Amino acid sequence: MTTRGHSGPRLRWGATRLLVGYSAAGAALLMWEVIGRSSSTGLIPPVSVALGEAWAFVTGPRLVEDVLPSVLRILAGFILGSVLGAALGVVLGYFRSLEPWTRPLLEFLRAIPPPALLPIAVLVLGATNSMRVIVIGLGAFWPVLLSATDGTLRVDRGYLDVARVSGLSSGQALRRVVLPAAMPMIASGLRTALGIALVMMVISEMVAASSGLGFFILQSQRTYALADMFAGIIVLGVLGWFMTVGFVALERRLLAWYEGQKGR
Amino acid sequence: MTGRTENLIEVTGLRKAYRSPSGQITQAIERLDFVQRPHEFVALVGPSGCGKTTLLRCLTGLSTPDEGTVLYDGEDVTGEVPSSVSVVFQEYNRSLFPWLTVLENVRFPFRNLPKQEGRDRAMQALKRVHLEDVPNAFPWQLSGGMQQRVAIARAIASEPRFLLMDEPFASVDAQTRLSLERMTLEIFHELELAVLLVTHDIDEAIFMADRVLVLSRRPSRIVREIEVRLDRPRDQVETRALEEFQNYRREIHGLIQGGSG
Repeated sequence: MTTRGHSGPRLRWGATRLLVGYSAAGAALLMWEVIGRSSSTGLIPPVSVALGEAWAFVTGPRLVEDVLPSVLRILAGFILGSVLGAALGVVLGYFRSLEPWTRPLLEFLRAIPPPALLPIAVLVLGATNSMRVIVIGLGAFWPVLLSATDGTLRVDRGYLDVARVSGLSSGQALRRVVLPAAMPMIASGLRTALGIALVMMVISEMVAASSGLGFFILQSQRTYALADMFAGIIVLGVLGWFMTVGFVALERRLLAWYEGQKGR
Repeated sequence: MTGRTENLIEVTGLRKAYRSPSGQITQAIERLDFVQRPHEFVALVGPSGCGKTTLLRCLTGLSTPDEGTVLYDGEDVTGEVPSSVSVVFQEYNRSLFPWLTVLENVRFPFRNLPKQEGRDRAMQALKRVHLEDVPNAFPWQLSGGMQQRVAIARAIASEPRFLLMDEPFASVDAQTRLSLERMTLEIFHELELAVLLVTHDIDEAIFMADRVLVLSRRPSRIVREIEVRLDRPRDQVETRALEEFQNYRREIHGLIQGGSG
């Protein structure tokens, strides 16, 4: 990049990018509107109708009945899965001798697509909230576990030497040196986990549920309330987008040192 | 002396082999014996790959020697991490934590102290290395020489009696190197430390040390021990120009060259 360090050209380019991006999105919405209005089948409601329904959806009682349960489930599941995944991953990476024992089992388990476990979860735990949280957590668990293991294996030996000559115990070294050093890799696992958690949330709410965004979308489709169905999908998309934006903001704050170090 | 030996550190019959990942066993240290008095500056020189770093790891408890003992202040600390010993590693970018600020890095070894006391101590150490104006910078925002000064500050902040330095100036440019050497000598005098400097630079060893131990090629042993009788304080230009300095250099060069022939 020849413009690096000169804010002028980069800024202008950034503004152009934004303009181009929003124009394309606007054009896509316009196309949806035109197709919706001209379609005689009623399968595709115009975007203005869908957006109106979506707005009514998040300002009405549905916000508490369907959106809130979904948000709570994904937060609980994501936090549960990623905390357990990060903790176990760091331990597996740090105590290298454990790795040969656990590797084949973990490789097999992670090869199972998480939605396939849903029937077992329903059987064992019933159609409960905790079943949904656990299924979401399971989806988030694997990418975080693997990235935490790899991140820990790659922690510079020099850091560990400093920890030891500074008199830190293994536990202290794990918390104060290994975990922060592996954090950039763990964060990339968390990002993947967030996407999977969202998928698992929707799927788990489509099975024997009575609330949630996934339930609402499926229910609307079954009752042929297609504008509602699209409204649910739009709300779901916005929710996913909010979570990603929040995650990136948090990552920028906590891992500023990593970006700064890379830039040099 | 309170009934203790007058040596700060005593290494006796130290032997160490290591196994490479392919399973091959290399004898790194054949046999090493040496002592060091309090407030004495000793330099270890030798050809590259002569087991200097292995020795240093054995002295700091990062590795356990196969045979032999390490006494520190009369106490057997073989294979342990002795307290009141600090280490400055060669590569500052692998020893300073990039997620901590300069001040937090320096405070790292004595995290159990009350907050204000720890802060004061760290600031004092930063003053000694002339970095008191950048406590809140991150290490990667500083030059290489400054980063190594942070590492030195961290090592002396815990008020050690014995400072081990593993090729501490090998990764900085020549100009910075001279000023770091001068600064290290100042700290050596002011804090009355014992310093063991591992280096492959013969001039640096003579310039800094009271005594130079010349190591052989692997499996290493001490081939000669040389008392450096040059007046202190030493000067980077004047001292290095002295005839005795040249003689020491010739002697050590000969030993190291001879060892490789």
